[in-house]
Amino acid sequence: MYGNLIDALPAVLSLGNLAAVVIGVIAGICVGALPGLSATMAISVLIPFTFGMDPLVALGMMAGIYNGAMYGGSIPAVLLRIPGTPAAVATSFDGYPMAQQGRGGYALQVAVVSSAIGGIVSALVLMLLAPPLAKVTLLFGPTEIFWVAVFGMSAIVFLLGGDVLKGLISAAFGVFVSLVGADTITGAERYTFGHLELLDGINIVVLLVGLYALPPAIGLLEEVRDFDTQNTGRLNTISIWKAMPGMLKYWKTWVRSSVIGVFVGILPGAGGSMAAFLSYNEARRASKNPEEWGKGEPEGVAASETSNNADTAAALIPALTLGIPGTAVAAVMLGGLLIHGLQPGPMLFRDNPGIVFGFMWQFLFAAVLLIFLGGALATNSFAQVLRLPRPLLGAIIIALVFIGVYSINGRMFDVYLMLGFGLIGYFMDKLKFPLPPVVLGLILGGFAEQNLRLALRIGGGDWSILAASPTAKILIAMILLVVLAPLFSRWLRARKTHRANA
Amino acid sequence: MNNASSSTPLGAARGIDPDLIAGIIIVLGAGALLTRTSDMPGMTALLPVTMLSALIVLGLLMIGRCLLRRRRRGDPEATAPAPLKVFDNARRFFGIVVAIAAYVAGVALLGFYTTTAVMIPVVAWCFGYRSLKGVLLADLIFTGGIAIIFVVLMGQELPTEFFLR
Amino acid sequence: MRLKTIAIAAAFLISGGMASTALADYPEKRIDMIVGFAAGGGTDVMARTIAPYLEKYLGNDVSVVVKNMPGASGQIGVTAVAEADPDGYTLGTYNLPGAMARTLDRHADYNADSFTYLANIVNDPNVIVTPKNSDIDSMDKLVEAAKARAGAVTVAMSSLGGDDHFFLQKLSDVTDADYTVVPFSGSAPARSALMGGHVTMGIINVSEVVAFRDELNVLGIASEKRSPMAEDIPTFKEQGFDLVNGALRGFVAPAGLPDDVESKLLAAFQKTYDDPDFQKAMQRSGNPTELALGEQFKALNAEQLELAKRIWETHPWK
Repeated sequence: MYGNLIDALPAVLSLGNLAAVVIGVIAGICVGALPGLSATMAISVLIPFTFGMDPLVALGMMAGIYNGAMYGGSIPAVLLRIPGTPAAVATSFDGYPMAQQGRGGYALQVAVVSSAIGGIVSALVLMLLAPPLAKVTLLFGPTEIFWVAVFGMSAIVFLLGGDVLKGLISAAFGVFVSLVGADTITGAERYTFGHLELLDGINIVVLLVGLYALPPAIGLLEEVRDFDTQNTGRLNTISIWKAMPGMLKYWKTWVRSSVIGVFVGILPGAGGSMAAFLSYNEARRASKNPEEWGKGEPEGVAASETSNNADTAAALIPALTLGIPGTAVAAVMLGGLLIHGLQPGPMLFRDNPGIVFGFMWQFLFAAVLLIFLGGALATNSFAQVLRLPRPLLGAIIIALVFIGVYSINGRMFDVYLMLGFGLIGYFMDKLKFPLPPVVLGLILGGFAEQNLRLALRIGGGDWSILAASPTAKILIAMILLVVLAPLFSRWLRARKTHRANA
Repeated sequence: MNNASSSTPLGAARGIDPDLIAGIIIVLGAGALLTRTSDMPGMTALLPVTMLSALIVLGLLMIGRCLLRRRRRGDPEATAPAPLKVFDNARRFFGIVVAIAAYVAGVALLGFYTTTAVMIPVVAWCFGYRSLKGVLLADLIFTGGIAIIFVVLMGQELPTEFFLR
Repeated sequence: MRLKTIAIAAAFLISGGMASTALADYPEKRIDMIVGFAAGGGTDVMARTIAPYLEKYLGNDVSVVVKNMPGASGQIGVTAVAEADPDGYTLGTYNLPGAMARTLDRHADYNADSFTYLANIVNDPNVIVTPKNSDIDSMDKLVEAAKARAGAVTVAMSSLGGDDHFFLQKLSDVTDADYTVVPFSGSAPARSALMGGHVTMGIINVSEVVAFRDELNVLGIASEKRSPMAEDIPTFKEQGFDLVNGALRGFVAPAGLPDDVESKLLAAFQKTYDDPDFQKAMQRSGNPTELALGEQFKALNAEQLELAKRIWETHPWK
């Protein structure tokens, strides 16, 4: 197995294949950085184009795009509060406040270094631990996946924001949106209103772009402002190589978030945004000054960006070994493998070791390249682009949003849907309804429901199946610990003060 | 309370809290959607009913909170939060909505590149970027760049131009 | 006078000749091949594999361009084909029994008469699989377990109203037992749940099991003859169960195609199928091929519709 890894290296180092990774990373950063375009869209546009290409060139580009986009998404998240990809939502929590305080450049440097670290860890895990981790994936049947989703939902509590009532409304709205489409278990349709386009549910990119990219575009055009005098785009940074030693203090967050990212990655269907939310939440819980979070804490950016990149290669472990993608992007990439006749499964590793292990190397290179291309080159040029006169930037974002949503499935219907979400998002934003619970609700709502019902089917309607397996018991214990521990410690503290007073 | 004197036609100006309107819309919307669950099989309907009921309850709570807040506002001693301002500039907002609608309709009818090439300069100009050179240059770079990537490199189709159909 | 007659006759001849050459010239522009699934799926790969061979055998330097219109498990694409002009410049992929089952369980803007049936290329038989460490490693043991308690056997499959679901219904009839359907969304998650031992058995297709032979028990294959992709899997018929079923993938055009266009297309599909390079490419992408051309395909479609109707009437799945 490890011999195969070494054998695959020379092919990857050939000029064409290296160039493919470099082009992929640059393209990925651009796609991630442009509001409205997403990695899912970029790879689905790329796949038909790669039919007939050399597999390693095609896969190298995809690996590059995936890694690049996961970082690129943080650029507009930090500078404009428009997450470029679903996974960058958590990055905007602290990144945007940092930019408002004039520390946007540092936020992006933390993001690029954290992204690269997450990506490198993830690639190494994929290279060295894919077969054992695939066995871990198999432990997760519908019951266990249901509990993971519940665990993810516990993060909603921290995302509700200042106004709990509005936060809950946002979350309920997100879950409701996740229910649109055919119910896969009974086949009945929910809220499709006779539209075939809605049968498969609402693509998260459509919702995300509508909620997050359109309202700021409207905002850019709405403000009457003298655009020449504003200079919020200025980054005022020192070189990334000088900034890096100062970031070493985030090592705990890097480690924790990498583990979370990899873990979420190997679970079928969970995805990078859940990894980012979870690890943001855990990092905040572990922090000594949780009250600073959401106001511009660089560690928040580090947590979110590490884990959404740690999710990338890890998501390919179940995709390559079992054919079940860990994220939406991995699902599209699986199509990229299939189109080259690479059927996932244990045979893939035996029959095409050169390609599979080469692909893993390409992930590693892509992650390392992020620092050079992302840190040194792309970030500053994108900061320049985002300094365009506001009316022009607004107009360009509107066109980009159209391209990004239209290209996913090549139909206007998704564009109309996105416009509807855009209006909803605009008013939600103005009335101070928090948007992150909507995203988390959409990701986890239907996902939890479907797995719960599959589990109950398997158990013949007996609810005890939910706690039957050892994995499920461990997960339940973890959830209880996470939810109850803060309450318990508060109770302890209260008792202590009570005693002191007595 | 000072916001109430701003030029917004909706909400604040008439003294109606936007939260109140939002609450009513949420309750009515969720209620309307709830009527559609009746023809779904039991397990299919369970979660939609739960979520919509939750939305109705939360919406009612929000309405109740607004009414309480309004009553308290009559009391000069109270420190009730001022109602939120919905629009920075309502006229511009509706202008933008019309522009986006016209753009999307134009793309569907006339094709992507034609409409985009017209939309970018017009919108940028109308909303305050009055530099002919800048507008046209940006238009050329953006539309041209997209055309190069999508048509020449990827062979990907965006809605076809009316003169090519 | 005579000259005039000759001239008229000549004009007729020429115009007639031109008309026939105009038709004989098919194809004279790009042919769109509509695929109802996203790029990279099994159906998409089949379409992209066949496209260059069709280009070659249709001649005239024609280009066959694959257009993905994913959504509603292929229904959006199939509907677009049904509604296209029947001029031979729009073809589409066609999946059975799904395409016909959708006319029963949903509102569909097409029916069996909306298409010109060109060629069915892939026939992917169903297989019954159980987890490797399961006690149930033969059909007899499976039937025994299923009869012991109604619904005790849980069956992982990719969706409702598909080939796997119809197969289960046939199995249920043949073995006179009740099974619990566990519809995952897609066959890969169903297969993983099996490998993890979360369900008793699963119904998938032979192409989806060949790469996982070491991780799963395969109890049998629902084809007339053993599959060349896995010679060692016994058919159900050999084991005394009359079960033949599978997923079919082929190509259709809108109904009302001109006869000569249709015959040109049929000839091109026949030549493609006979091309050893094409067979090799299909094998590489894991697609078991079996040709049903023109009328044969139409009959196959009618047969599948009949099956779907029978099951829909006795055991509606929604």
